[in-house]
Amino acid sequence: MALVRGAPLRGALIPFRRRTSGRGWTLGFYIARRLVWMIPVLLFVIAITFFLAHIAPGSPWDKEGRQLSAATYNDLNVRYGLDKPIWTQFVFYLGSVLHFDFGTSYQHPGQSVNSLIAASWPYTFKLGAASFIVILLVGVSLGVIAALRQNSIVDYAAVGLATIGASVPNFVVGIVLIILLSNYLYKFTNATFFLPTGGYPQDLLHMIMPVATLSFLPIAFLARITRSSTLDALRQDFVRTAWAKGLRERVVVVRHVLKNSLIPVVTIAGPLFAALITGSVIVETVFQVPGIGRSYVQAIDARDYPMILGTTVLYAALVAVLNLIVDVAYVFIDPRVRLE
Amino acid sequence: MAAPALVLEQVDWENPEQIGLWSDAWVRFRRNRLAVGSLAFVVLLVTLAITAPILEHFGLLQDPTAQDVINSYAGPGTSHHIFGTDDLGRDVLAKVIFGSQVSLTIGIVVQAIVLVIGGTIGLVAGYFGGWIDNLLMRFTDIMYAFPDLLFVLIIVAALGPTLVNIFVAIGLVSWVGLARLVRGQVLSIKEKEFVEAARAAGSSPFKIIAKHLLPNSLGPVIVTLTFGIPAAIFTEAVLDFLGVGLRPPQPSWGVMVFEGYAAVDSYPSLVIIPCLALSMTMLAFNFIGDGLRDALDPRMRR
Amino acid sequence: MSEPILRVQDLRTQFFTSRGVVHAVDGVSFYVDAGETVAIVGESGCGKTMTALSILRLVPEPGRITSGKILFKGRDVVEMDGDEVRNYRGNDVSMIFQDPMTSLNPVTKIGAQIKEAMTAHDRFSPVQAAQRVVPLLKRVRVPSAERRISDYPHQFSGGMRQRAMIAMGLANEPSLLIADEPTTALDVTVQAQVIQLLKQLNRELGTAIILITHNTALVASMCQRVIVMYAGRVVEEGPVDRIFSRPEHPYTWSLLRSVPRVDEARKGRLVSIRGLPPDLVRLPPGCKFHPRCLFKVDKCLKEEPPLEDVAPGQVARCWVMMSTVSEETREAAQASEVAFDVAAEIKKRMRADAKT
Repeated sequence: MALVRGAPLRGALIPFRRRTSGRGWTLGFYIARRLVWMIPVLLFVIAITFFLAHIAPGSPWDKEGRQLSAATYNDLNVRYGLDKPIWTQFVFYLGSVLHFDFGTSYQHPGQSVNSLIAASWPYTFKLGAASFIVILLVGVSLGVIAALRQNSIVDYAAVGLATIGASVPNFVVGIVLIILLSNYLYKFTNATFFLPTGGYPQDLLHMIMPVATLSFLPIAFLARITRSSTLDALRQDFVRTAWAKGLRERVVVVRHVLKNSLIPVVTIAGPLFAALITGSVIVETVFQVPGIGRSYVQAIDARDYPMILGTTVLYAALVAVLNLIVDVAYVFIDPRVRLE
Repeated sequence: MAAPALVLEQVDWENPEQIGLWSDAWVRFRRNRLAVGSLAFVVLLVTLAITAPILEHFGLLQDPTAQDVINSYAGPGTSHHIFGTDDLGRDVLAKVIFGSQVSLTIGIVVQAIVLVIGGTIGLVAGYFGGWIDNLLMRFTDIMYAFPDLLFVLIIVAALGPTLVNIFVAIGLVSWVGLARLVRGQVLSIKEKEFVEAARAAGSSPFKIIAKHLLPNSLGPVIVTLTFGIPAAIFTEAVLDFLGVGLRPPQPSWGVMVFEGYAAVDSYPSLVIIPCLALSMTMLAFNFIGDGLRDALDPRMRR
Repeated sequence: MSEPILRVQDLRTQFFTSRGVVHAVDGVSFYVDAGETVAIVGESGCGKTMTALSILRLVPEPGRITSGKILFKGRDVVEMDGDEVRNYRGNDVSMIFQDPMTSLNPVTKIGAQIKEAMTAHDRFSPVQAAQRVVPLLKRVRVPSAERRISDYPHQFSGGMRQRAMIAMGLANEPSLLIADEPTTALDVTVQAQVIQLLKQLNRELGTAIILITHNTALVASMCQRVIVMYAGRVVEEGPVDRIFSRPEHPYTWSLLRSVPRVDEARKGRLVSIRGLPPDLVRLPPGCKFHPRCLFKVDKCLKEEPPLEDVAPGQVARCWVMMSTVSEETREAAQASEVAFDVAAEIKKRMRADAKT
C-alpha cells in the first residue's frame, strides 16, 4: 500500500481545501490497515519457508556425526511429528504459531525457540542499533558536506569512499579490519566479541569493529544519495529566494536546503534496514557474535526447522514493521504527501 | 545570457541524419576513463576465464586442484607460485583465475534469469494493468521487503549447494528491482500519444512492445542489469563464505576466503588475494554501470 | 530634484564559460527615483534578469560583476562586504521571481516563510514579525489570511502564491522592489490582478518598482518609465507614453509593432523581428542590433552608437533614429522584408564556431 505524493500544482487553480483535522484519524486507519495486511504476508512467508525447509535434503538427525539406527530415526521422527504428511505438519505448526509457540529447537533439545531467540536478540539489536546511529550520523554528514563544498577535496574523498564502499563486500571489510588490527592491536581481536566482560569501555571497544564493518556499505550509499539530493536542492529556485531575502548562510542551508534534501533520503531507510539485517548475518559470522544472524545460519545448516521458521517469522515481521514506521514517518516529514 | 546561442550547436542542417542514441552513448562512455578502464579489466578477466583450460593445457597455468602438500602455505612470490599456495599446496593464482569463472558466470546467468522473470512480469503488469498489475505488484512488494540474502539462504539449503541451484536461488530473489523498473517504463510509455496512434492503426500488442517500448526502456534496463552483476557476485561469495554455498575444493573466490579464514592471522594473503579479486571485479562492474548510466542519460544528450 | 535611490553606472557582468566570456550585462547605466515604477523590457537573453540579479549581488556561478557601480542611496553595492549585502537584501531592496511554485520552500508554511523574511533583519523583533504576517497577507488580498498562514505553498493557487511572494518581498518595507517577470507563469486573468496589486502597493507604500518583462502591454498599464535592453546594453530609455508613441530605436519600434492590436484592422502576416537573438559570446562589430535592423546605414556596421538625448527624458542608441525615417520608407522596409532564412543563419554560426 503505497503513499501517494500530491503532484506539484503548476499554477492551476485549486479549490481552497482546508487540511481536515481528521488527519490523525486517517493515519490511525492507515496504520491499522497496514498491520492487518501484514498477516497474509507473514503467512505467505511462513508457508514458503516451511515448504522450502522441508524439501531440503538431509534430516535434522544427520549432523551428529554418528550413525543412527533406523529405529532411532523413526522414533525421533515420530517424537517430533516429522512422520506425518507435510500438510498436516504445516497446519499443526500454524496452530502453534497463533499461540506464539514456535516449538523447541532440534539442535538444543528442551530449549524453546522463543527462549533461544530471546537470548540472542540483544546482541543483534545492539549491533543493529549502534550501526544505524553511526550510519545516519556519518552518512548524512559526509553527503551534506560533500555537496556544500562541491569539487573540493572533501567532495572527491566522499565520492571515492562511497564508490569503494558500495563495491567492497562487507565481509571483506570485516576481514581486512581483523587482519589489520589483529597484527597491531591485540585486544580488538578477542573472539567472543559481544559477551559482556563487565564494564562499559570494554564492551564498546569490542563493538567498534563489527559496527564499522556493518556500517561501511550503508554509509557509502547514504552519503551518495544525500550528496546528490543536496546538490539538487541547492539548485532550486526557492534557495535563490532565500538568499534574496537576506538570510544568513546557516539558515539557508539548514532551513531551506537540508529540510528539502533530506526528505528523499528517508526513502532509503527501508532498504537500509534490509541491508542491516542481511549484513548482520554476515558480520555476526565474521566476528563470532552470538546473535540471531549467526544462529540462523547454523539452524539452516542443521536443518533445525523450528529455529529456521521462528527466525524467519521474526525477520519478516521486523522488516514489515520497520517499513511501516518509515512510511508513517514520511507523512510527517513531507507535507505534500497524502495517505492513500 | 548565452542560452539562445547554445541551442544552435545541436542542429546540423547539412547532414540531416540524427545522432543515434547508441553512437552518442558510446562516445560519452568513452570519455569516462574510469569506466573504460574497468571495461578493459572485465574483458581481460573474461578472456582469462574462458581460456583458462587452454592455458592449463599448455602449462601456463597450473591445475587448481593439484595438491602439493609439501609446498603448502607458500607465500606469494615463491618459485612456480606467483600468488603462493594454500593449505594443501594448491596454486593460488590458478584458483583465482578458475574462480573467476564462477563469479563471472554467476553474474551473467543470474542477470539473464532476472531479465527473463523480471522483464516479463514488469511488461505484463505494466501493459495489461488492472487486477493483474495489482496482484503482481502486491507480490513484488512482499518480496521487496524481505532481505534477499535470507531467502537465498533458505532456497539454497532447500535445493542443495550446487552451482545451478545457486543461480536459480539468487535469480529467484533478485528480479524484483527490474520488474518494477520495466513496469514503470511501460506505464510511462503506454500513455504517450504515439502508442495510441499505433494501436489505432491496428498494430498488435507485440509489435507495439517491440517497436516502441523496448528501444526506449533499454537504457535503464541495461544499467540495472549491469549493477546487478556485482550484487550477484557478492551474494554468491557470501554464501560460500558462510559455508552454505559451494564447498571446497571448488575454486570460487568465496570458497577461497572460507578456506583461508581459519588461518587468517598467520597467512593473511590467502584471504586477501580472493578478497582483492572480488573487490576489484565488483568495483569494475560498478564503474561500468556508472559510466553506462551517465552515457545513456537522455537528459545529458548533447 | 532629489537623488535617485538607485543609480547603476556602467555595470558589466560577465560569465566565464568554457565557450568563452559571455557579456551578459555590457555597460548598463540607469537610475530609479524614489517611488517610481520603471520597466526593463527586452527579449530573452538580453540581460535584464542578470542586471536585476547584479543589483542584489545574486549573480550565479560562473558569473561575476566585473566592473561598474551600483549606488543605492549613495552606497556602492558592488563594494559591500558579506554582512552589508545580507543586510541590504530583502531589506533595502527586495526581489520577487518568475515562478512562484518553485520559488517558495515547499516544506515550510507560508506564514513561517514570510516571518523569516523579517526576522532575518533587525528591524522587527520576532514577536512583531509574527504579528505583521497576517496584515501583510491581507494587504496583498489573500482571502482568509489568518488560516492561510499555516498552509503550505502547494495548497495555494498560482496567483495567491505570487501574492504571498509579494508580501514576503514587502515585509521589510524596502525602498525598491524588483519584480522579475512576476506574471509570466500565471493565467492571463490572474496576471492583470497581480499587476493591479503592484500598482496599488506602489501608490500606498511608495515603494519603487522595477518591472522586468517582455510583455509590453503590462508596461503600458503600470509603469512610468521604460528601459529597453538589447544584447546586454540599454538601447532606449524614456517615459512610457513617449516611448510607446514615438520610439526612436528600431528595436523598440519592432518590439512594439510585433504585438498585434485588437483595435487595428487585420493586416495580414504577423510581424516579427527577423533574425536570431545575438550570441553574447561573439557580438558583431558596430551596433549590436544591425544584423536584424531594417533601417541600417554603413556607419552602423562599423561604429557602435552612444546613448544620445532625443527628447526631454528620452535617450536612444542609434545612428539613424526612427524619427528620421519617413512613413514610406517604413512601409517599404516592412513590405520588402524577405522571409528570414533561419537555417542559413544557423549554418553560418556553426561554421563560425567551428573555425574558432
